[in-house]
Amino acid sequence: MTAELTHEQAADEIEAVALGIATAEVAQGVASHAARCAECAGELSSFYQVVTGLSTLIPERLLNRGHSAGIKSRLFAKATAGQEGTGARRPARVEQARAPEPRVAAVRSAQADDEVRPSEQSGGGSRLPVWIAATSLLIAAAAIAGMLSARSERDAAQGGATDATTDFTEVADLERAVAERDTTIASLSGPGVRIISLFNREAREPLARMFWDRRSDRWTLFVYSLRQPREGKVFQLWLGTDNGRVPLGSFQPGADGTGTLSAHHALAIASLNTVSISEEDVGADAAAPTGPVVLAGALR
Amino acid sequence: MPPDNEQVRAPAADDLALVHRIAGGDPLALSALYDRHSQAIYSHTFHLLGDAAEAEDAVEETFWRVWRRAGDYDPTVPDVATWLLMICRQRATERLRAKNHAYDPLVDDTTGLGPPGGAPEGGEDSGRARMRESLASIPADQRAVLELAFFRGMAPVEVANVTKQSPETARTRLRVAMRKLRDALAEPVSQPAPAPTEAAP
Repeated sequence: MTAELTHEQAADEIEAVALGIATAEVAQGVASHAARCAECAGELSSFYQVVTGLSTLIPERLLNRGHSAGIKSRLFAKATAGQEGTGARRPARVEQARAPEPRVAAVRSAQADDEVRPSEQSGGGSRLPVWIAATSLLIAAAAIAGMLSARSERDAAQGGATDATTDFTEVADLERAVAERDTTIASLSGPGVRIISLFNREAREPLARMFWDRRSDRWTLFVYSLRQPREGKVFQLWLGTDNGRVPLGSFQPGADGTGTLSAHHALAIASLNTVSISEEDVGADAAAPTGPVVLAGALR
Repeated sequence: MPPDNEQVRAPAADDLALVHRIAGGDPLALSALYDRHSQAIYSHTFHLLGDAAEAEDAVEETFWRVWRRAGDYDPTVPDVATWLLMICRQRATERLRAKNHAYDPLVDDTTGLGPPGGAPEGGEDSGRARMRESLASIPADQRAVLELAFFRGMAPVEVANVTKQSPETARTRLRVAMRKLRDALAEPVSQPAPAPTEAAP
């Protein structure tokens, strides 16, 4: 509880309050007094103008853009916790939504006209190539695993018989998987790709990254350390835009906490505010987040 | 190169409207406000704290406080930028006090003002130049107290300690300096005299 200040006490502290050097208690006391005293309110306001003028003399110091994105993402994650409302949007087209069995769609190779921005790379920026390499391996491994699984099933169906034709098919499948991996790597690291790091409320390092290939309107999410959703729940990916939330699809991470999701959705860059992941009821087909936001991130 | 989000959105968004939206629980408004002001706030906190990591933490604390206290926004504060400045200075000075920061008199030019009366190479905008001139017009002993308070975030008692004067003297000089600066800024800008023209032959 802040002690009420007399007019004289408040007047004595006005300059210090305007300069931001008074204690929080004194500042609160002066603000309370100024709310009732036009004279002190006027004085305070005039000194605020002086301080604003003085601040123009502060040399500009650039805030690391990657760190800034991290700060913004943490703020957003904290702010959105329990803040999600309702809306009415249909999910965007989802290509895949489950980590254990990812099927990578070929991504159009982008032409160079602008570069991946350092801002989205930092805040762990030096580790971005590791992310890309790791995600690519994840994709390739999963694709090859899927192919081998299909082969195993097919062999079982054929009583284990193999022949030269099968071998050729397998080679072609492997080549396709490698080509898909290379295409995906190019898409993740290529020109025109914006990268958004996602954080939870506590993490200072990103727990997921969204790769937005603006040339193909393709969104690819990689989650690397996400807990399992609660019973009967699933994680839902959202884009926060000036016009509201856009659901990109749902997914469930694997036992090791990794997961991927890919979707297409055309969006003007100026419209994108945030990317977030919320926990929703399985099969709810929510049009807007209703559960808690577990990860969130933003461009710059 | 495509424009940044903030460059596109900033003109359309109004700071006060954003604060009202934040008070209503809209996290996207917080995101937009952050885009518009985080750089300036960081410059300020870095100047006060002298450490990038601490300054970034202070930026985060500032905007988190905005999120929690947007409903307390005081409309008598001239604008939202000033309100943010007040919050960030409060957070930064609290951090300084928590660290029991020491003033090193050997470290000069921490005010960012450079040599007395000197303007940066390449010139500066008129508002900044005027502020610099107004500050330079204040007597040195008063200006020193004001500079330590503003650029170092020192309370009058701390200023008194490092300048070997009584807290009351420091407080009085700070008050007088602030009033003189306010008055100097309130004076109309004098127009430069026109350059003499050569007489016609």
